[in-house]
Amino acid sequence: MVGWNVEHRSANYRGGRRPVGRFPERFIRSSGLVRVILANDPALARETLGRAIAVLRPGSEVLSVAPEQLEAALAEYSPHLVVCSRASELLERCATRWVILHPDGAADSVLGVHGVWRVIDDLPLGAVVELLDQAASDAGERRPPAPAVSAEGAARFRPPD
Amino acid sequence: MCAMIRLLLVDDHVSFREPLAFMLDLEHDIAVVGQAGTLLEARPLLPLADIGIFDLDLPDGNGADLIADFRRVQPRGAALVLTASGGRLDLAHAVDAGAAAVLRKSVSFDVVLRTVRQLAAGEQVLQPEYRAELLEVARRRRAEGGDERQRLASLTPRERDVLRGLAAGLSDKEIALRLHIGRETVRTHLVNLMAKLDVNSRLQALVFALRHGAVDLD
Repeated sequence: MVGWNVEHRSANYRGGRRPVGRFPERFIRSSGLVRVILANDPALARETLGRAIAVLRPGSEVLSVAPEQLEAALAEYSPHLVVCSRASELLERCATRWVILHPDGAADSVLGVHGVWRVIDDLPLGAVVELLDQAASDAGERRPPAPAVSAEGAARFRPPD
Repeated sequence: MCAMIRLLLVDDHVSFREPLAFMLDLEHDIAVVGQAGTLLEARPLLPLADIGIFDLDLPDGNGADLIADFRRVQPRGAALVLTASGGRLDLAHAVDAGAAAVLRKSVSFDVVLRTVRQLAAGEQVLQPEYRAELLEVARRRRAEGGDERQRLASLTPRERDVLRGLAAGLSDKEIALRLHIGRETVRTHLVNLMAKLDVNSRLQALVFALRHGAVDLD
């Protein structure tokens, strides 16, 4: 049984109808499957960030939950990236990359990558994309090597002359 | 064919503003013509937009002042307030300055989208009774003298943050932790804000701020 209420999953987002708009085209490309939890406040910020990620990195799986459900979601979902507004004991154990946006109304935010914390002003959309790409790259490195292809198999996949 | 809605977005939190701008800009009938995080950045962009989305709590002042400027340079434009923490008096000042709609940041994206389109179509969005109520609050406050408002307006964003900490029942230490500043700095802000509000204790400062809608109790 799912232990938290999922507000949105990326598959449910209605993507935009215009592909690029006024934002850099380099954002618009697909990455590998990266799991993201969004538990930041306010709700509108969570929803629009989730929708934007679904457009910019369609390969990502975005789970949006209320801030008080972050711990339960962390324990069950094993995310690559978390964006939230409150610190959680599980955060560092369950995610390699996380951002706490303006905790308790603070002016600054905190970024954690592989256990290294850094105070940042805020989190621009471009930085989210960068974190997603880094997470995708990490996930790719951990993927088992591709199986060796037999001569017979290689022949089968040889492009036609 | 309908004309594009030219939209300006003013909010000091980039993490909130950019995804919202990105998603709005993807809509077939909306073009985000500008984004700004302060009054200073926003003022040159006001003539470019038909619809402005304004946060009220900006680092260099109150978004209501920006709404008044927007209405001056774009009399046919419409201002939508999108706020997380604005108290009733803040909303009253915003409506008094010409805001046509007020939304909390807890609403869904679809509600924002619908409201932007309603405003662009010239529809009335605020319930007339609510609008009248807010205008009455603003009028009464003016009648009581702008002195209190001026005193509140003289507070810096940091001093307002400290006031909000008081309203949340936090100690000096907890406020310092929340704002990533030292306890002494918190005390300095408290002394300064009490002087500006012309009150003698932090309790009086809190009551003053509550009475004038500068903070809400959670």
